[in-house]
Amino acid sequence: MARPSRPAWLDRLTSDTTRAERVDDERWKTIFVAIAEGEIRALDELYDLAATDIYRLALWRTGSREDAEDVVQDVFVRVAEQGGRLKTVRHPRRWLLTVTHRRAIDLVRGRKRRYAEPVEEMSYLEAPPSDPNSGPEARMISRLIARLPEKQREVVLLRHFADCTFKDIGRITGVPTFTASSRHRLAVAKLRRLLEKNHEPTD
Amino acid sequence: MNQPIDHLPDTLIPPGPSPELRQRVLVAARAAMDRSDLPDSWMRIWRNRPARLAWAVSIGALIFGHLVIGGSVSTGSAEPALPFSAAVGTNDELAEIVGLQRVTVDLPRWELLAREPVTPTNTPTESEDLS
Repeated sequence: MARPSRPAWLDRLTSDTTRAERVDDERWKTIFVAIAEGEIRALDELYDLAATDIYRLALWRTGSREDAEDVVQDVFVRVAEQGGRLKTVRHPRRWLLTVTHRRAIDLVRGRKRRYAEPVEEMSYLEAPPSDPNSGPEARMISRLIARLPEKQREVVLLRHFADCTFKDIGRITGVPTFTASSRHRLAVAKLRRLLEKNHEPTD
Repeated sequence: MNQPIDHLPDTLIPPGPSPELRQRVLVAARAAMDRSDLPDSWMRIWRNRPARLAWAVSIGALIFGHLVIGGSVSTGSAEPALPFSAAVGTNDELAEIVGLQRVTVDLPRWELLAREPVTPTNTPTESEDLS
């Protein structure tokens, strides 16, 4: 049987040219300055801007919705407590994702101490309401993503769904750019293998 | 299961936070912001007028005391200390203690040699067990 053709989305994971339109850095800085000056409404704006990225990163890192929600709350509390120091943050989005990454790691470590069993089967990807038929495929891909090591999973999310460069990913996860790129390459290779294995006919 | 999945990235997305989370997070963040607005204990002391006054008075008293005591020492108003022999004065008993001579004894040479420590020799004899 001929090998299944490599899916286009997997190709896009390896491509360095895809960049979604990113929110202007100045807007992030303006919000941070407003929070530093005690403007409560700026917190709402920041939530609308950043909560989805923070939640997704925490979810892919912790593998638990409950933990991801806790991480989001912790990150926003941390932001609110910073006060005037927020004015000195040069890359607010990267800073937020870095705080998220660290908090998620702490939470996973704590959870591993508390529970020996793995967490529930997580849906890392979901079908949008406009396309309910892709639900089974979403579950299948989620299972494949769940088999990636946490570090590689995190890089895939940051690269593909948060539009971060490898340099940014390196800064966020505290590793050299080369390591971030390497983790991404390994993750894509493993996903490809799992996908091919998944498509092999069963006797 | 052999379905085409090329369209997955266009349709599948990572799940986002629940709508209820927004309220929970913002309430916690606002509370944290209010807490961080509270001045720390040093600032509270500084903003308290009586505490500030007490601090100023204590500093003033310290400076005043320093000037007064330091000034009296530097003007040389205190009496200089007398030598011990002068302080003894006419007290014969004390004078005898102050003037106590060191006792020296001239010992003969043979007695001095006898008092030298003897170095023990550790050379084992053939009959001794070396194990």
